[in-house]
Order: sequence, then C-alpha cells, then structure tokens
Amino acid sequence: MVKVKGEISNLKKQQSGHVYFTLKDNASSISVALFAGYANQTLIPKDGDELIVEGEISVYAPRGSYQIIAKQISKTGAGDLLMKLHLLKEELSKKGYFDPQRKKPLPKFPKKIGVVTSGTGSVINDIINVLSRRYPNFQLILNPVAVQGKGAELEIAKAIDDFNKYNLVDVMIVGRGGGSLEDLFCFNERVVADAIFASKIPVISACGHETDFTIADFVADVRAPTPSAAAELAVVDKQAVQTALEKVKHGIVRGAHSKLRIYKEALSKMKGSRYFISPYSMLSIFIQNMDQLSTDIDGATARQITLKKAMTEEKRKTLYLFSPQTKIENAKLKVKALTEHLSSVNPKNILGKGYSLIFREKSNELISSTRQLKNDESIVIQLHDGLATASIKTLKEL
Amino acid sequence: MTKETTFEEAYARLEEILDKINLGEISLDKSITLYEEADKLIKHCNMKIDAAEKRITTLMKNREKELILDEDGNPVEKDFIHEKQHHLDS
Repeated sequence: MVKVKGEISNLKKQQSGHVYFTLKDNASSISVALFAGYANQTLIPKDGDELIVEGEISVYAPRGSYQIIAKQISKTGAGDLLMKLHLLKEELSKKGYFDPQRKKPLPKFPKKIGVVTSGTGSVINDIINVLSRRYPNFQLILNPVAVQGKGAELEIAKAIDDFNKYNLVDVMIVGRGGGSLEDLFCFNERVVADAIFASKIPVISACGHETDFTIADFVADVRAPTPSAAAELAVVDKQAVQTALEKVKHGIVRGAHSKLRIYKEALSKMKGSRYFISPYSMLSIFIQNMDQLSTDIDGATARQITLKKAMTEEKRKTLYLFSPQTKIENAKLKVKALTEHLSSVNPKNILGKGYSLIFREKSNELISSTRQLKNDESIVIQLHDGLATASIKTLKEL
Repeated sequence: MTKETTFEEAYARLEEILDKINLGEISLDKSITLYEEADKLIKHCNMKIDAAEKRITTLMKNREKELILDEDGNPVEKDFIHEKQHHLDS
C-alpha cells in the first residue's frame, strides 16, 4: 500500500463508473485508476482537487507505465492551480480585461494572419489546412513558441507583443491543442492575459478543445473552440464570398432589369393612352374653348365697334350742329321763315286779298272808324294795285 | 472608388446599391449610373480576392528565443514547410 498526496488533473470518468486521473505536484505525476467499487460516493473527485490517494502500485501494460489502483481517496483542500486561476480570473474581470465593449472586431479580409503556436504538431497543420480550403491565397506568418512547460507563457506573450511591435499581421490566432489543466496553464498566466489585452491586433484564442477554457480565452477578442475553428473565424470562405458577390451582382442586374422593364411598361402604357393615340381627344376641349373664346371675342369686338361707331356718329352730329355751315343754313332758314312771316303780315299783301286802306285825302290820315269821317269828305282808297278817290255819301255806324 | 478602396467598403457599397436598385424609388438615369458603379465594384472586389499570393512563413528566432532581425530591423521570415507537404516532398 502507498499513500500519495497531489492534485487531480486530466480526470476522466467512464460510463462504467471507473475514474482515471493523474495525481501530481510540482515535480512529478502518476496515473491513478479509481474503480467503481472503490469510488467514494460522498467524494466525487474533479480536476484541481487536492487528494490523498491510498492504493497499490501496478503497471498498466498497454502503456508500460506505473499507476496506483486507488482503494481510498480523501480530500485535503482546493487545488492550488485552480485556486490561482480563480483568483486571477476574478482580478482580471474586475480590471475589465473581459469587457465585451473592448473586444475588437475581426477584419473580414485580413491580408496576413499571424499564428502563435508550436512550430510542430497538428495545430499549425490544422490551421493551414482550413485556411487552404477556405481562402487558397492566404498569407500566414507563424511565430513558433513553446505552448507548455516552464517559460512557455513568456514566449507566448512575447510573440503576441512582437506581432504588434513589427505590425506584421492583421489578425492573430493564439493557441494550442487540447491537454491537461497543467498543459494549458500557460494560457492562464497573467503575462499572456496582459499581452492579449494590450494587443492592437485582434486576437483569436484557440486553446485545447471545446470544453477547455483559459484566461486567454476570456481576454481574447474572439474565442474559438479549436484551432481549426479559429482558422475558420480568421478568414472568410473565398467560395462563399465569390458566391455572395455573384449574388449581389445578380441582384443588381435583376434589379436594374426590372427597373428598366417597369419604365418600359410605363412608357408603352403611356404610348397607348388615348391622348397619344388621338391627340384631338385631349385637345378637343381646348380647341372648342378656343373657338368659343374667339367667337366671344369677335362678338364683343363687333359690339364694341358698333358702340364706338354710334358714339362717333353722335359726336359727329353734335359737331355738325355747331359747324359754321349749319349755323348759316339755320340762319338762312330763320331769315326765310321771317321773310315769309313778314310777307304774310305785309299790308300790301293783305290788300291783295281784297282788303283796302282808306286815307283822308287832305292829311293822308289812315281811317279806321266812321267817326273819323264826315259826309262829302274826300277819301283816298288804296287797293292792292292802285289808288282811288271817292267822297263819302253816307255814314252809318254799325 | 479608388485603388485603396477596401473590399469591405466596396462590398458595403454594393449592398447599398442592391438595396437602392431593388427597393428605392430611383430614376432610370440613376439606376443606370448605379449599375455601372456596381459593375466596377464587383471587378474591384474580385481583384482584391485574388490579389494575394499564398505564402506561409515562420519567424526566425535565435537560441534565446529572440526574433532574428535583418539590417533594417525587421524580423526575418523564411518559408514554412507544411509538415504534410514536407512528408510528401521527402
């Protein structure tokens, strides 16, 4: 029987109920198999737990490695590594290292892609394969670093800094393949978190597998579940872009055509409208109005002319009345009338009608009464054509 | 559009044109102008996509894990041999 104290990592629980893990401290590690029958129902071990394991040493033949078949496990406290991780995470979170607002967007078409990972192994190959598939003419610069073990965190941090310092790339992938908590621990170190936080170049983290989360993942602008996924995030699918371009092109062509068709249709519709087929149908009303107006104007004009003419005539007449000739004519007429009147009152003319005038012979006094006469008095009788002398024989008043 | 117009800018403009042509109330003249612009943008985008040459390099480091710099002070790069390619070649 042996009794070993250490921290659990790389724990795997099988369907069968058997539990396998590595027990380790700063200097050494050993595999432990905890079979279902011995598993303590009240103590379910998990990564980072510090345990005291009692059991028997045996050899696991397929790997040729020593292991402990655990008979009993007991807890000694939370693991140092996990505690350290937890504290750092708390601190960085408070300092805003994980704030979504400070995450940089990834460039859609990075000219150069930086990769901070091991120069050997599957990670860089996976990345290259994915990039080749998605974007055949990509450019990649690898900054090869150790991704586990002592000092790895310093190399990783420096590589991130150097990409920034020399401004070599437009986006970078920082990561490694899956591994134990210890393997991944360099990505949990503050120096790496600081480097990612300070990076002006967007960082995609890709540490381990789906379920592995490191501090680097929280600080990175984008966290990819795997290195292959990181490569997919780093570049667009060229095929998809070309397809999208084609689609846009098609959309624009179709849009332009449909626009043209709409205008064409509108045009032909317009051409078919009665106004264009028979312009008179549109114009008739105007033509009629014009005619009516013209008639109205003519009538009005004629009336005006007649009126003016009449007025002129009136004026002319008035003027005529005042003309010297008219005045003379009028005077002549007056003279004529007067003459006629005069002639009608001329005594001589009266005499012509059979009247006569009697004068006293001696005094030529006109006699108008019998009282003016005496018997035997001589009188002169004037007739219209001569004089006669007579004497009065009798007088008799009537 | 200038030579420096990025793919993103060109693509964004294309989408804008697409919206305008398909949804906007634009004149016939304008749609023709937009169509011509789109044609140029698509050519530009295709040029940008094909512009880069595939190149995979690795930065050179010394034993102290420091970058090796050329005389201009820039990091020295060398072609990175893709492991699978390497295997095929050897």
